[in-house]
Amino acid sequence: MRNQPGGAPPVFVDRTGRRRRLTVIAGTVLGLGLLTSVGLIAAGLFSDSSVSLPGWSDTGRGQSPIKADVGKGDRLDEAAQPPGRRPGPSAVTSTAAPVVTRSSPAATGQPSGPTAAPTTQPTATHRGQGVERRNSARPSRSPGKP
Amino acid sequence: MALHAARRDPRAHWLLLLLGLAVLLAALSLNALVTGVAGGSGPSATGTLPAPRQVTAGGPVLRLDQAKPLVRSVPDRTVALTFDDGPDPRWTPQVLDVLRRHRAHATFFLVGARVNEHPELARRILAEGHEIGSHSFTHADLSASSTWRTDLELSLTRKAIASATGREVTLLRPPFTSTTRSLTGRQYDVLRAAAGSGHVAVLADRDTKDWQRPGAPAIVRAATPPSGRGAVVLMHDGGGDRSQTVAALDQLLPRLTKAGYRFTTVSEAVAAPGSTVSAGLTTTLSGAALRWAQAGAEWLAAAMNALLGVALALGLARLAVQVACAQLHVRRVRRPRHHGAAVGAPVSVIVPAYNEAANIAATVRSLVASAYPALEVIVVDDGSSDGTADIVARLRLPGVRVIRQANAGKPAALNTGIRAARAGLLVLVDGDTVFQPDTIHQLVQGFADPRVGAISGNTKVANRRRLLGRWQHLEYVIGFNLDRRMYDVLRCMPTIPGAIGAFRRDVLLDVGGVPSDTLAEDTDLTMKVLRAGWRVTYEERAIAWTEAPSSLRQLWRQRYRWCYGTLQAMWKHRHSLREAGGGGKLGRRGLPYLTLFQIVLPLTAPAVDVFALYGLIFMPWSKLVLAWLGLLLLQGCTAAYALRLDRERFGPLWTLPLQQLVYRQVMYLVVVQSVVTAVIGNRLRWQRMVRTGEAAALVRG
Repeated sequence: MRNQPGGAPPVFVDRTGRRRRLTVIAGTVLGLGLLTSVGLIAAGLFSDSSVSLPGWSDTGRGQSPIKADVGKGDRLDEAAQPPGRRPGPSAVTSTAAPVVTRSSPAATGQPSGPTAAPTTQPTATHRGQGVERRNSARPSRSPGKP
Repeated sequence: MALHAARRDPRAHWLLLLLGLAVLLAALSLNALVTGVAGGSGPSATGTLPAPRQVTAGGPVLRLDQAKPLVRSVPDRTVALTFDDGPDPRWTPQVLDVLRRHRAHATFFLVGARVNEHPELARRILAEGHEIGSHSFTHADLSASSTWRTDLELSLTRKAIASATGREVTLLRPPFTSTTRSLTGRQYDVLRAAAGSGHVAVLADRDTKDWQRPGAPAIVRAATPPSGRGAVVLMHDGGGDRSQTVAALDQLLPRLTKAGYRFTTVSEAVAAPGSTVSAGLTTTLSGAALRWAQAGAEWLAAAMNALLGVALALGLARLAVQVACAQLHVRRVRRPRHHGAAVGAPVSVIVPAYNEAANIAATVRSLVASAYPALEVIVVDDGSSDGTADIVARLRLPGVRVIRQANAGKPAALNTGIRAARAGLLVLVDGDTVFQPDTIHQLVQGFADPRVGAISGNTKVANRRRLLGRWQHLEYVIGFNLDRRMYDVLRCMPTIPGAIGAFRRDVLLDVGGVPSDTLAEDTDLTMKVLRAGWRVTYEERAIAWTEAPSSLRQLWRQRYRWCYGTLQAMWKHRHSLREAGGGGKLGRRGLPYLTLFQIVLPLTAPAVDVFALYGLIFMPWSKLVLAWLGLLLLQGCTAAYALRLDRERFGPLWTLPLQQLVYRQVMYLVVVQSVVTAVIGNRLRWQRMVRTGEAAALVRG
């Protein structure tokens, strides 16, 4: 009967260590691949993407700054607003007064930024102007959507 | 027993496994987020405070990055068509075609995840002179989302669009908003927060509600502003069947054009500069990473679903075959034996023992107490250092011989015993196993059939007082015994356990004795016997009580050896696949079964556990509990059936759900470890179990 110790070589055992080296290489490649995918997900998810708003042009068409620090909740009384300031097509031509959005930085490559805009009239004149009122005639709509 | 010089066990693969599982969990979560499994598509909570009056009563384009909101409206005879929820591979092109036909421009509020799926549509929208904006990444209700989720939704969308088009968007229409009038306080807060990262909010003057599919005429009516006024009109080019929207556009565009209207982008309508800015390199690259991650996650999730489906189908098929075979087996073996006289030929029992002082006396006593007419017991002491041989010698039991040899390993000890045996039937017994008085008689009855070369007995866990013991008891009864009945019927028994097996002496000599080149010499030997053309059967009534490992570490070592040894034996006997006769049955039935259920499925089990974890986080509890109960019920029924076949009590069944937490993981991780060891070609040491003598205590008590 055979199979005394040292008889048949044990199954799978690789005395040269070649398979071990190959496995280490394959494992390293796999590990790097996994780390790359972790990096991919992290890079995709968590990197800042804030953008400076391009400035609004100064034609002022249909625009009206509102004097209200809305974050603190003081809301304008509708009765206090001057009625009938809705700009029509005629208003577009007449109100060429620009409103400078002073605190908004100009985006790079946007030629119509506020700093480049001609400030022909002071913005303060628009302070306190009423909002457009034409929404008031419409029925209220509920926001539910799928 | 035999001590090989071994390199230390590999460990780096655990790091890889952990990393892989983390990536899988992240990918599944990402996919859940993108496909909306994780919520975010529900409509916003009603009954919240309305937004500030000057906003709800004002124009639809809101710039809120300063203390004072800037509001702009669309002038008369101007319509800014806006399309939400796209891009959609079916409807967006149709909408674009209609717009092009009527030379109209519009604004598309894109869902970031869909941009990643169809970046070419986003490019086409821009190329045809339209404007694009953000509609969140997953169509989430931002007013009901946490701040970080909202920030993520907006930044992901921006990146997705940047990667697709090279432009970063600044227009935002949050999902579930429509007109300024219906804006809630929460939604307004979201808009203000979004302004901080550079978003101008675009609401609507006219909500067509085309998603309700009211018919093209109704959509046209809803989209038409009264008495020549301008409007931002809300429509949809994604999220469902939009054929009515396309039809309505085809009517609306010529009709309003005739009435002197022009159709422009939102920015053009409110006389603002183009809303998109050139994307930076970081954002573009990050967006590309996101798109790849999303595509990979989608693929992985699909693969996971397929895997689960296949695993479930395989599990059910296995159960069906097991039960059918078990029924057949039980019917066959429980027939009264009335053919010929009972087998009573002389039997030599061979007990290889290495440091079995705790159990050996009980083992030998139980063997001598056997109700069998012609019995000799040979204890082969394999160089024990704890006086195992002396204990047996001191017992001075009749018919018991002790052979001492220098430590050479269990296979060598067995072969020594086989050479010394005088009888024609040999029973091989582990030194920690206790027989019942009728065990040997029951075990050898199968030799009445001259074609049977070897018979497996029924091992039972003696120490089942603690949880680990109960788990193993259940596994022995469910896993091993049910399988053995099946192997018997299908004639492909891969393992006669070392604890109890009977062989014809001629068969053992024929196959060259017990092989020593694998660590599972019992499996290796059984496969050899099968390939030599003998039948191997299972005898449920031949009960052997064995001591199961009582600590997780011991269990790990035992299973590591079993699993690695089984891998070795399978590899060694792989050529049986193409053999005729008994070897072919092993190769074409037994080996594929073992490969599938003992190796491949356990290797995928970690991913299944990660999926369960993912389900715990993202799936509705009702669904999860239902799935879990279903699987548990299936498992419980199988277990109950196996216990009944083995005439065992149902008591330990309660530990079955707990198996999912520790036992299951040990069982599959040991397979991972074994496969890695096999692949790299390490030598594996024989690792001995520490005996406590509990099997012995069983017979004493």
